[in-house]
Amino acid sequence: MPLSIQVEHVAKRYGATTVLDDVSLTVASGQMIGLVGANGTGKTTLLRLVAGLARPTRGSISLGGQNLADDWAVLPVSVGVLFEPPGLLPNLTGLDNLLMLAAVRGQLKSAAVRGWMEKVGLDPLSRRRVGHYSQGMKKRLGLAQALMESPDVLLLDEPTNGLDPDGVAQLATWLAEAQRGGAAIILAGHDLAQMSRICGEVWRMTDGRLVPADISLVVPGQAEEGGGSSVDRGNQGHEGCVT
Amino acid sequence: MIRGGFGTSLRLVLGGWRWFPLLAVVAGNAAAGLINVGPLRLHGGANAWDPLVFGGITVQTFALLTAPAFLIGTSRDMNRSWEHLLCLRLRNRRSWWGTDILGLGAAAGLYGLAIGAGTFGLGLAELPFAFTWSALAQSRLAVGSTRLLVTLHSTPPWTVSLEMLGLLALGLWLLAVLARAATLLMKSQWSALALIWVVVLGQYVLVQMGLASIFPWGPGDQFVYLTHFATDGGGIPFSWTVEYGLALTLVGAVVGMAIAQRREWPI
Repeated sequence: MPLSIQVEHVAKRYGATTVLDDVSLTVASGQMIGLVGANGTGKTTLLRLVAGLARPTRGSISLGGQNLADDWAVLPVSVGVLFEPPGLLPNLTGLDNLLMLAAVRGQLKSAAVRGWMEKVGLDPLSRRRVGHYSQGMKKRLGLAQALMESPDVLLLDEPTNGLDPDGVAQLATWLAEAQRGGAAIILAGHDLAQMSRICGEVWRMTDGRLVPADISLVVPGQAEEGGGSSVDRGNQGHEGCVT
Repeated sequence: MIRGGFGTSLRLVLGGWRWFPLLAVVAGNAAAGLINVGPLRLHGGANAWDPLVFGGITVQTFALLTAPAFLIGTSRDMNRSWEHLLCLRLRNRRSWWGTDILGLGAAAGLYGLAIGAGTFGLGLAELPFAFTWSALAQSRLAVGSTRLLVTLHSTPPWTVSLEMLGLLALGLWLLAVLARAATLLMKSQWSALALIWVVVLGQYVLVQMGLASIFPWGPGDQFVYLTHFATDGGGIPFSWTVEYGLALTLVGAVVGMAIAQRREWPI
């Protein structure tokens, strides 16, 4: 069942440090939004809160009507996540990592898991352990584990880090497929140009607050080419929407 | 989903390099069984049960080999980032913790069975098989205790062996659950494992120094079957140890559950 994400007046504090302050956000089923911002502005924290991996100090988060505060021990249904680092077991092969995770829900057959390995450009027959993977390979494997069970909610932190331009283009294709399937998607990253190229809507995190990003600051043509520079200026209160 | 989570938890504590500690424990206990029974064989009348019952599972092998190898072999860093991927798929922190505790129990049972099979198998290769106790076992020479002699006369060897291995598995499960719960608090699995092993080792050292009465209820040597019967003194009753082991395992699991269901990632 397609799920929407509703974040209402959420704050998160660690001791005296306020990481998020009165953040509200709605992501409908089939919608993909991007979050940009400098390190430490709260992007990853917001994704972890939406995934149910951390508890907000104030406010509420609902996924498909399930309020995460109702029973903190219960995690939201059907969420795929990718954080930095991807968190895979270094002493196992990539395929073994995916098979062990897929075995929990039992939705995917072994052949489907191998298919995902191939889809992200990794050899399912390789005996190479994840600890010996390059950063890009780890990222691809992390994306495979996030996407392979077709989750209703996708939360990807820095999904393009370590990917080559072809990988970024493939990622955009996989995300578009997930979006067509009804997934609600949030991406977080630093690069406004790249994010605006992939997402329909981009927001900026600044000092724990969420404001619409001004994508008019992206140099014309940069968005289409996926240029690598990020824009750090301005919170113009101007919603960017690239379709 | 719980079954899938249990299977994944079991693979996490038994897969890959984790077979090496198990093999070391099986080989060590089997060798200890033959070595300890060896001198007694000179008096004649030994059979395949003797290495398992009298030689293999001792306070020495438990404290110095079996317990630390099991703790290391089944170690799992509950604080690492892979765990949240597993927890999200289980959709519940309670299931995440519960499947791990059950996985540890299954692993402890497997260790018990493997130790029993290895020690009995090696005994079988060296000594004749019989359905009854050997003449050696029925003499005070091997037994050294009227209490154990009475037990042996009234119980078949396979029953005593199963009780022995079951008690061992319970002890290992208890230690691993306590270590796991400590891992949640200490944020380092190795510190938690070391803490639990130091407790077992400390109790062993006290027993060797003749100071067992200082720490008789510790979660260590009472899980070695012979300690309940090998002396005629008023030691801890076997049934008490079983109840204590189950109760303390439950306490460790419940405390761990209380911590686990408040778990946030990253730590």
